[in-house]
Amino acid sequence: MSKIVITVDDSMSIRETVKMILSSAGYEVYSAEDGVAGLRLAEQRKADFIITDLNMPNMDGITLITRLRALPQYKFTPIVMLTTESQDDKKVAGKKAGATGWVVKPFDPARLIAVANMVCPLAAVARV
Amino acid sequence: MQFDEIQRRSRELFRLEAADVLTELESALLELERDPANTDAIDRVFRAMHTLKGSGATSGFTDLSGFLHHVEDVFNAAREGRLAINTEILDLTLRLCDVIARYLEAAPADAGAVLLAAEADLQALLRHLPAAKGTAKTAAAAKAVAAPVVSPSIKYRIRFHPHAGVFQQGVEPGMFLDGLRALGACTVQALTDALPPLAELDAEQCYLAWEIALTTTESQNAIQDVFLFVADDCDLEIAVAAPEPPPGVVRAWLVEFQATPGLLAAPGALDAIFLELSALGHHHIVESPPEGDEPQPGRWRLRLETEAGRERIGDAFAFALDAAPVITPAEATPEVGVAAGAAPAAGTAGAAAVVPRAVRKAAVSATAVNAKHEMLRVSADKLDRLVNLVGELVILKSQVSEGCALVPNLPPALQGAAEGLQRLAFELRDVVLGVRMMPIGETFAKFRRLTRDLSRDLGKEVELVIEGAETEMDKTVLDQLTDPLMHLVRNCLDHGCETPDERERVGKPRTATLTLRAEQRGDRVWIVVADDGRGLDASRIRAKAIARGLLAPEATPSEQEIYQFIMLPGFSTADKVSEVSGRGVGLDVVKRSIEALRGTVELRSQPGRGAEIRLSLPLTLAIIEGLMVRVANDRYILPLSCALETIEQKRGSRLAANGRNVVALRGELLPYLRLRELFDYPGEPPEIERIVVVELEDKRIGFAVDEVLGNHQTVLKSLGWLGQRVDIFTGATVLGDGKVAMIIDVSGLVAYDAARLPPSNGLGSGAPLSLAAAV
Repeated sequence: MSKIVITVDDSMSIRETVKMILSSAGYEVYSAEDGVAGLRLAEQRKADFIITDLNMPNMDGITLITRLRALPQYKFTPIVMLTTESQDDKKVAGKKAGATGWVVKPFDPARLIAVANMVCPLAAVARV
Repeated sequence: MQFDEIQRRSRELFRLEAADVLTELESALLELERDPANTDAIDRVFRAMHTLKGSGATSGFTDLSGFLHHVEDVFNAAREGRLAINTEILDLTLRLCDVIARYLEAAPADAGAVLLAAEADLQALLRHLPAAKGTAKTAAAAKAVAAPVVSPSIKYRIRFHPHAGVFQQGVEPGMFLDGLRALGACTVQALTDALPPLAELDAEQCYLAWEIALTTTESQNAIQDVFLFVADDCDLEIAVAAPEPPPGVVRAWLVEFQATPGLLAAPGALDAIFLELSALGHHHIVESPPEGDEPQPGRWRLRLETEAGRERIGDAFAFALDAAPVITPAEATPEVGVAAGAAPAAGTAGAAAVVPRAVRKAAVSATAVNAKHEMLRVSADKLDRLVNLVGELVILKSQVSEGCALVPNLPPALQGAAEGLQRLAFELRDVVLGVRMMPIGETFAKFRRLTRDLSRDLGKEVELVIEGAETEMDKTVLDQLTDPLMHLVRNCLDHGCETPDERERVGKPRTATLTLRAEQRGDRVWIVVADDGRGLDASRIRAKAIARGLLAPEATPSEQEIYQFIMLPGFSTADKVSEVSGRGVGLDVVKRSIEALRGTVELRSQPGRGAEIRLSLPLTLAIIEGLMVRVANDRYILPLSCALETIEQKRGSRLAANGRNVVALRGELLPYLRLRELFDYPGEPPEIERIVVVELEDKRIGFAVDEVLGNHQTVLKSLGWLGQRVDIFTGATVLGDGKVAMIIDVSGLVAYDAARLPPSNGLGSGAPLSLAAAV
C-alpha cells in the first residue's frame, strides 16, 4: 500500500506541485490549504508523512504541528516544514512544536522525494 | 511523470494562481490608495507578494521571485512602520503588477526582458526603502581585473554522536554520512568506545559516534543541514576555528560570492547586495567577473570595513542564496589584494563560513487575508457537459412522469419512485446550475484599476462606486460581459464625466461618481452603469441623426428617443476619435453583444445630471422559467419573467382599433398579437381564447393563444446555426413527450410584427390607450 502524505500550503501551485512530485514517487498525496483544513484532513485520514507551510491564514504551520503532535496517532509521524523562511527562530519554533525537519523553498523535485524517502522508509513505499 | 513535465505543469499552475493573487494584490493596493495607513491592506499586499515570490520560485520562476523580493521589502518596511505608503509607491507598485502580468503572459524567452524593462520602476520603488542610504553601486560600475574562479575549500572537523534512542525515530545514521560525502572529501572514523559487550548489547540502541574530517567548498550551514532531521537526536559539533569578533569594532572582512546566472537574472539582485553592503560600511572591490554590457557571472571578492558581524554581512545575501557567500575576517588573510584568484588563503580555511539568513519576518496575521473557501478548479467544458446531461435527465424525468400518468392503477412503489426521481432531478439541476453562478463583484472589480488609470490620464477625478457585487450570474454570461462593460465604463469616463474645474463651474463636487450596480430582478439581472456627468447632448445627436438621414428634419422625437440613436452602428458624436473610447467600436457593438446574451440595453440621460445605461440580462442562459401555451397542436414557451397575467377573451367580445387587435383590460385598451395569425396556422381560433399579457420595456402587450398550459421550467437548447437567422425565438426545449416547443423571444416577435404591418399611429408600439378615448 502506498504511503499517505498530506501537504498543507495556502499556495495552490505549491500544493499541486508537491502533489505531482510525490505522486510520481509512488506516494498517495492529499492536500489542504491551511492549518484548519490540514488538521481536519489529518484527523480523517492517518498520514504517514506531513509537509506543511508555516505562513498560512486561519492556522499557521507551527500551530498545526503543535495540534498534530497532541493527537496520539501523530505523535511519531514525520512532519516537515516547507518554508521560504530560513530564519533560525522559525526553525527553532517549528522544531519545538515537534517538526521533524524542514525543506526550504524553492525545492527541487529530487530533493523533496529524497526527504520523503528519508523520513518514510523507502522499502515500505509501493512503487507505482 | 517526469520531472520536466512536473515543472511544466507547476509553471502552468503558478500562472493560474498568480492571476488570482494579482487581482487580490491590485484590490489591496487600490484600497491603500484610499487609505494609505490601512495596515490590513498593507498586510494583504505583503502577503500577496510573498506568495508570488515563494510559489514562483518553487515553480521555476526564479527571476520573478528575485524581482518581487525587493517589492516585498518595501511593504515589509511599511508593515514594520519604517516607511509610510505614499502615492508614488502605489503608482510604482501598480505598474509593477502590470509588469508581472506581462511577464506571466510572455513567452519564456521574452519574460526576462519584461522584468529588465521594469528595472527603472523597481529602482525608483527601492529608493523609498529607509535603508537605502547613498547610491547603490551597480555591478557594471565595478571595475577589476579578471581572475580565474576558484572556490575556497575549507576543512571542517565534525563530531556526530547520535543519541542511543535514535533508531526509534526511524533514523539511519549512515544516511547522514552519505550526505556529508556529497559535500566534499571525507574521512570518517567510527568511535566505538561506547559499544558494550555483545551480551549486553541492545540491538535497538545506537552506541556509535563518528568523527569526520570534511574538506568542502560548502558553507557550515550546508553541513548542518545534512543533520537536519537528527538535530534533536544527536550531539553535533562542527569545528569553528576563528572566534567571532566583538561587536562595536570596525573590522575588515573579506567577502566572496558567486554571481551566478540565476542571480543575475533577477533584476536588481546584484545591486541589492551592494546596496546592503554599502549600508554596512565602506567596501572596495578586490576581484570581479569580466566586464560586459550586462553584468557577467563569476566570482566577486570585496573588502568590507564594518562594525557588523559576520551574520549581519551574510544578511546582505539573504535572497541571493546561490551566491554562496564566504565571509572571512580580512586580517586573517595576508595580502588581501594580492591573494585574488589564488588558492584559498590560510585564514579562509580556519574560518567558518556563514550562509545568509533571511531577515524578513514573513508571518502575516491570519486576519489580514480574506477568508478563502475551499475551491476547486474545473474546466468550463466539463461543467457545460454536466449542465447538458442534467438537462437531458430533466427531460427524461418528464417523460417518466408523463408515462406514469398514462398507466392506470400505477403501483405505489413506481409512483413513489417517479416522484423521488422528479425531486432529485430538480435538485440536481438547481445545484448544477448553481455551480456556474459567480458573484459579479469580480467582474466589477476589474474596473477599479481602469477607472483610476483612465481618469488620471484624462485629468479627471472619478470615484467608482460598486453596488450589488454579491449578485450572482452565470459564468458564461459574466465572461461575455467584461468587454461591453469595459466599453461603457470607458465611454462614461471619456465623454460623460467632466474635468474637476468644469464640474466646479456648474456647482457639482469636483469628483465625479461612476456607479456600477447589479441587482437581481426575478430571473434577470439588471446592471447599471451610471455617471453624474454632463449627460447626453440631445441637440448634437439630433443634428447628427438628421445629417445622416436617420431622422427627418421636421420630426419631433422626445429626448429619450433621440438618445437611442447613439446605439446605431457607426453613430458617434465625438467629433474627434479619442484614444480612450474611440477604438472603432461604438455602443452598437455593446448593444449587439448584450442582445446576443438575451439581454436588453436601455439608455437614459438628463442633461447636466448624467447618463445611465441599464443592461437587463438573464441570470443564466441554460434555463428558462416559462409559461407553456398551446396554439393548434403546437406548444410554445413564453418567458415567465415578462408575463404579467392571462385573461380570457370570448369570440364575441373581440375589438379592433386602427386595424390592430385590442382587448379591454381594466378600462384600458391593450393591443395584442394572435400567435395563430402570426404563425399562419390554418383554421379559426377557439371560442374562448387566452391572452397572455406581457410587459416589455415598460409597455404592455398581449399574446392571444388557444390555451395556457401552465408554468414550465425548461432547459434551453440553442437553435444553432438556425437561431442566427431567427429573431422571434430564443431557442427551443424538448418536452416530456419528446416533442419540441419553441421559446418565444417576446421583443423579437413584437418587432417582427411591427415590421410586417404598415406603421400605425401609435398603437403599434403597444402603448395602452384609454378606453374612453377610443370609443
